[in-house]
Amino acid sequence: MLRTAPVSFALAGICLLLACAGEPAASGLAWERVAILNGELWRLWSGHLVHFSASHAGADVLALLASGALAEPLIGTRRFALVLGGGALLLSLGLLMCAPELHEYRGASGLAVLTAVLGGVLAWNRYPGSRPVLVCAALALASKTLWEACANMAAFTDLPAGVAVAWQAHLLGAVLGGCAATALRRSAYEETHA
Amino acid sequence: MKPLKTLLFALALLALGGCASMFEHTGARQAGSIVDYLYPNAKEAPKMEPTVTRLRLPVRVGIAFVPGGGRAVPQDAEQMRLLEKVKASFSEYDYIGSIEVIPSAYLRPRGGFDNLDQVARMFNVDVIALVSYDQIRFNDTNRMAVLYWTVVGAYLIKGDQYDVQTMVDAAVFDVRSRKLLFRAPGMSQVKGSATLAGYSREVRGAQSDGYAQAVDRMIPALQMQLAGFKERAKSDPGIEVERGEGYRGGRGAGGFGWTSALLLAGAAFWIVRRRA
Repeated sequence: MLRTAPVSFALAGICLLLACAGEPAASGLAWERVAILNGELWRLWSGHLVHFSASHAGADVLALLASGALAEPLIGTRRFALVLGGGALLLSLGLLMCAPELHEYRGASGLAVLTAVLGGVLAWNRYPGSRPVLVCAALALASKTLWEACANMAAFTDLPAGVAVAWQAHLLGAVLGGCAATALRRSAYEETHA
Repeated sequence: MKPLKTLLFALALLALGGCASMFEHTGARQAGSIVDYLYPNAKEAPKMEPTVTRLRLPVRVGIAFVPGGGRAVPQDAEQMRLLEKVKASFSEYDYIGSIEVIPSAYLRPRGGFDNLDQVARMFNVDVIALVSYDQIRFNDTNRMAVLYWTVVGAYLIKGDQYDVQTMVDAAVFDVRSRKLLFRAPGMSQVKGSATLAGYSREVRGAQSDGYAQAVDRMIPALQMQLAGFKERAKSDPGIEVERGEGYRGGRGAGGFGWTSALLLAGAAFWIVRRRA
């Protein structure tokens, strides 16, 4: 699995290392609206690698590893790295524009959702036998996001006090994952029929 | 005839001396002390009681100048302008909700915490930032002042010098627990010279500039304290933070949750195994 999904493993390792580094490191790398607008542009990427707690990091890393193990072998390591790099940037810019009430964001789950949707869409075509499982997973993910958006409550998460689930990041991740999958399928189709 | 001459000479001396005596050379001080306001009759230091400060997010903040002894200094309009600057530095932080600028007329000199409680209830705020001030003005004359004796010189020669030193300090108190949360100081010094005729106008301007510069220097220190307080509140056992109803706090996490992550992992594992 380490050979088939090296980028996912590397990102998971970085997330866990940063989770151990403590609050000062996390504060300096988190997605913070004011800091980004003041020129600290690295936060557009690094915000997806830091977390509010070890438990938060653990759950996000597990989701990222699982979805990465599915998606990365389907599109190749280089493309996967490009999709994640571009996706992280677009996710952060999307949060800047679409979630004005959000001042600080941390977590890899936006990227995990992007990867899961990307992997799911590609697996839907490649492995028709897995469609029932994919439908169940998609329904569970959509219900979770809908619940968090409507009820203003976190579903099955144990985030620290004062921190809400940024469902907007999950929604943006899903849209970006869908767009990436469509673009990759079109590219593969053009390569085949060229 | 001799007494008349003596009288005229004395009158002339008094008239010429008047130019100098109509102008104070000692300086002046304007102060609004936070200790005088909050502890007006204290003969000994207030007892420290270990209390927990409970802050309900988003925090409602009031900002006011500590009332001074005599007439309002700086003037009310100027106070409001300076407080608006301070307000802007608070408004950047997501954990701060409403910010009210409280006119000094609502604060009673030497009013103590009772007055602070009344004002907090009136403006519906949990925390009040009290801006105290201390401005000292020194006046001196230089050698050119001798030309004031020509009368025209009083209008043309800058023979008077002033040195205005200002210190402002914003102390942020939790009204319920009466605890000082943090403070931020700002200082300034404005020096200059003026003609005798234009002295009052110039000094008023310098005093006003002194307050503005001191507040401008206080604001970065205040922002640093506000950012530091956000972090300190997480670890300080003396501060408890509660989330108000409907408050999202502007802090969001891409939280997947263990249950969702395990479900996703199960699905991915199943697909990967079938693929293999």
